[in-house]
Amino acid sequence: MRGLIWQYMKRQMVANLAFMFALLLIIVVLPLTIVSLNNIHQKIESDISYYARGTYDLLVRSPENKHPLEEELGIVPDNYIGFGHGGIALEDWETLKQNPDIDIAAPVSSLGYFTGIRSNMTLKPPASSTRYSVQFSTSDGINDYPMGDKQECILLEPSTSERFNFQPIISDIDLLNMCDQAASFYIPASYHLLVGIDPEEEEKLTGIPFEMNRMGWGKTAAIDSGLPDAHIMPVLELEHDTAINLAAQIKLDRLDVDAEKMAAYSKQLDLENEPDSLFLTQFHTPKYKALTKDLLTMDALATDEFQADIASRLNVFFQEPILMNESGHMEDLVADGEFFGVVDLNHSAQYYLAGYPSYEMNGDTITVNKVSDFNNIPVYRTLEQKGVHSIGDASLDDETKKDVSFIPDPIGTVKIPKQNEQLASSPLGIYQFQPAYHIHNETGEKTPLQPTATPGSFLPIPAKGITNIEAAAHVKGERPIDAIRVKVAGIEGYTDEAVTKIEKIAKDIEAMGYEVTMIAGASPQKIQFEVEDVGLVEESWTTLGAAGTIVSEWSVTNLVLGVLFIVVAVTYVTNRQFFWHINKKQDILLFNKLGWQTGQVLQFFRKEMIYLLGFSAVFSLPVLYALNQWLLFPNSIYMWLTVDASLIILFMLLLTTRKIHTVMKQTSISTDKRSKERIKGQSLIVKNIKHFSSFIKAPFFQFISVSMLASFVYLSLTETVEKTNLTLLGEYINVQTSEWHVILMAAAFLLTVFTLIESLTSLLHVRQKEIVLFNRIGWKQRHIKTLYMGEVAVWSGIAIALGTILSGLTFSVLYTLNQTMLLRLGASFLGFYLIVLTLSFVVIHYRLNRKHDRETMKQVG
Amino acid sequence: MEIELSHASVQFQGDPIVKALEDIQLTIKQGEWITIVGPSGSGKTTLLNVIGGLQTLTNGDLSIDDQRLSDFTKEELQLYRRNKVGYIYQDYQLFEQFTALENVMVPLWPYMNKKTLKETAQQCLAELNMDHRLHALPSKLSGGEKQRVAIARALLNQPDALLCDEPTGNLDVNNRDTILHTLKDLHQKGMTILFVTHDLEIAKWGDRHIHIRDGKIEESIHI
Repeated sequence: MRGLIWQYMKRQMVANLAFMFALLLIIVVLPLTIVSLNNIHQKIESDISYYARGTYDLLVRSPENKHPLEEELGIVPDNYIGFGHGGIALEDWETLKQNPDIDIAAPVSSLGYFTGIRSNMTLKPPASSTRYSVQFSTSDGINDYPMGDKQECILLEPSTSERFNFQPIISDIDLLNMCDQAASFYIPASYHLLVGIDPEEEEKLTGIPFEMNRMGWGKTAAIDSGLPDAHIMPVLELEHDTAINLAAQIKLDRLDVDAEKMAAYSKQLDLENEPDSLFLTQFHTPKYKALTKDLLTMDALATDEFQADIASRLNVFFQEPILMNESGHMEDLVADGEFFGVVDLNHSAQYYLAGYPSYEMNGDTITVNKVSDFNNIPVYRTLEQKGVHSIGDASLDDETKKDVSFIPDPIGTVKIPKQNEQLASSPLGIYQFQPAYHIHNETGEKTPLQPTATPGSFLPIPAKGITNIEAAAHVKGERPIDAIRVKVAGIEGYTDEAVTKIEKIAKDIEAMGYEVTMIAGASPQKIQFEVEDVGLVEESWTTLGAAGTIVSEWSVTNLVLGVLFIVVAVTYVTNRQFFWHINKKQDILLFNKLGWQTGQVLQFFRKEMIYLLGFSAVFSLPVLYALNQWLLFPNSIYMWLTVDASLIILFMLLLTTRKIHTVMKQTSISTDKRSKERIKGQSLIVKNIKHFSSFIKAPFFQFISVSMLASFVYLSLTETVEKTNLTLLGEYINVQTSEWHVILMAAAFLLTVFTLIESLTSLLHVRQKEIVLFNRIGWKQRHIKTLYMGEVAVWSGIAIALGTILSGLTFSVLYTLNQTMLLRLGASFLGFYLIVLTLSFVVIHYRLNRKHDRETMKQVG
Repeated sequence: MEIELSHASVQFQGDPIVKALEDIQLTIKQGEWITIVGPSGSGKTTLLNVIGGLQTLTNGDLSIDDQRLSDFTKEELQLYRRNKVGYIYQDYQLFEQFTALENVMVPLWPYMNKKTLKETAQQCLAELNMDHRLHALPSKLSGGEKQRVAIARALLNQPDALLCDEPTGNLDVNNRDTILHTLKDLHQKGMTILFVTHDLEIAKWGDRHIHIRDGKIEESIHI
């Protein structure tokens, strides 16, 4: 028997090789797919477990402290810590801190936007008469906003007096004492977020020591200002990369003023007989004003102009005076008699509470509108002024002094390490600030944005100063805490067990009447919105529950892809078996006619099948091994290979046995039960399709399944990547798993192309006699090709369209089918159809030109 | 081997029902050459298939040496086909992938010692003057050669009857005559031959010819 089988197989070498290659392909592709899907799943699980847990797990807030967008979109801005209205009592915080299941309970209390001691910027004295113009400004990165009016100071030289080097001229009384023997200007007040924390818990959370037990100038200032009972609030300035924008545009005009002109000016001001008098003594006289006007409009001999980045030397809560040379170089000013430094604490006890920017949803677009302005600078948050101004003013009345409940006491600085972009997000933190960008609406160019120096910027700026929670309680009352960041004890990573424990603690805290948000599994996400007067802005926000979304999105995709691949594989094997049956049917019948027993026929074809399957399975091993050298699969792929090869062999043998039994029952040769109905008035193509429907149905269903697979693999992978790419964690995971996506798509493509070729070849093979007949009756090859191409174009077009529709329907059940996806589906259909037509043409052309076929035609002819 | 058909009918289901054979009464004696003629679709091949055990009767009986074929088990039927009857067809029905020798060997391949089988097959082919084409594939053989291979295969197990379904239909006159002479020789050695044909000239070669129309025997003429 074996010899006969070998002869039988050997003489059908090409067909058998194609059969074995087809089986080899499916045997290799299936474990490849399974392992790819499994690897994607495992990679996601491990990445989520490793990266998805941020610095803390739960955020506890009072219910009214939730951001409006949080419910709607599940996202919150960076550094969002409520509106500063508190809501959590110190006792409740203490309770949480004592809970053994809680490792860290770090409170945050937003106190608002503060400024510190104001000081001055002084330009080194000039060599000759000079007119100074200084315009302070701030910027959001796109628009510049002047801060106050332009300030002008003129220093005239030579002096008429031995006592002064310069005669100062000013146009604004506020510059009195500032514009004297050197040009000095107040540095404008800039506002910064101050929050209350618990140093110990905060250190546990961040690893940064926050030393609060220090004294600054506060106590002395309180006594000096007549406020001995005011609470001294220690303030540590946080040094980090995020700086407000504050600049000074400085213009120096050299003036042509000599002794003769100075004498004329003295005379103009009636001071010719008082050489030691300053011109400023005549400030309120019309003559002084006229002289000032002349000097301010006098043509300059030479002009220097530069911009100084004041923000680079800003100590926000205790500003040191700055000395600047005429090139704009800045250094610390030492008050040594030649220069003086201003210490102005008038603004330090006055602060602003700021709400959240007025985000509005317009369809899918978020817009932020201006609320008001602050000294002509746009403000995007509702501001509420608090505290008392002019606490340093000795003339402050007693009644007002009673309202001064605290004095900020800058006690030093703490350096906050540069924040690297993290996959997990700890929203509503106080240190994190990912860059925000303006996006040019035409070029798409990104410009970094900065907060302005005033409170009310639309940017979610991090805290710049911290105080202790006790001071916060003094300022805000009994329930000063806005949020508590809770880290659960005894868990590692973001595993299922960890999630269960975190959820349990969350429920316990919710029972205390607070709003609890799961932060574990959150990840940053880029959000774009329209800001009034600025344009399109991109910020890094936080998606709550991102890890869960990533896992569920990929789980669904993997599951569907897995099922689809198996469906395609089963269809493929069944189809292969179908064509096997067609090819072998006559032989089986002949064996039967010759009197072979069913058992012998079964044995013959089973053995043939075992040899073919065995060769395919054996050859698949080195193929997979070679692929493994390149793609580095886990060793489990060999196990999957064994499993899938065994299942395919079993399946094929069962099908073979069933088919042989079916054929053996048909003792009659005339078993052709193809459609015999009348098919008048139809084109030859339609008639042929109807007549050969029993042959076409197998490749037809196969085309449906592979076209569905091909478009669904592409669509679902694209959609899942797009959806999960919204967050940084998702983006990272997608990059990590992209290699497997490529393998999946390549596998789907390979399977598709080969099954198409195989199907078409088999179909043409079973219709070989018909081709010969066409040739016999005098058809040219061109006409035969046209007929066959027409047939393929019709039924494959219908099959691919059905597959695409099914793919779209499946997709719409699992995801959202939007216009883009419909276009992609359309493109997928056209692309696939084009491939099929091209392959069909090649296959038909090949079959019609094959030597064997030509010989057959010759013989028959 | 005596073959007896009694009120034999074969119907094929469909719309309308096709009566391929209707109430056939026929007895075939051992060593008889019967030529079955009739127009296309008259039931000639069906009659041959019924006798060859490839088609079951819808009604009536077929007895082989007084044994009802309908009582045969599947295995007995296969044995009957293998040992009692040999079949030759117009389209030869050869395995394209086997050589002439292998095609002749195939019927008994699972049942006989290979060496003996090969010798027997070679002998069968030699008797039909095909010993020079033992290892040729069917695609390399002429129509007459193919049919001789098919006859050799049918004779391999020395059957009692040879069922010939238009075996000369595809052959030229020379090849046709060669095949007919071969069959004549066999007939003279006592082989029962049932020969389906359209060719009335061939009908003269037999002992009797049966004319079938619409599944019924119109006439049975002894020559």
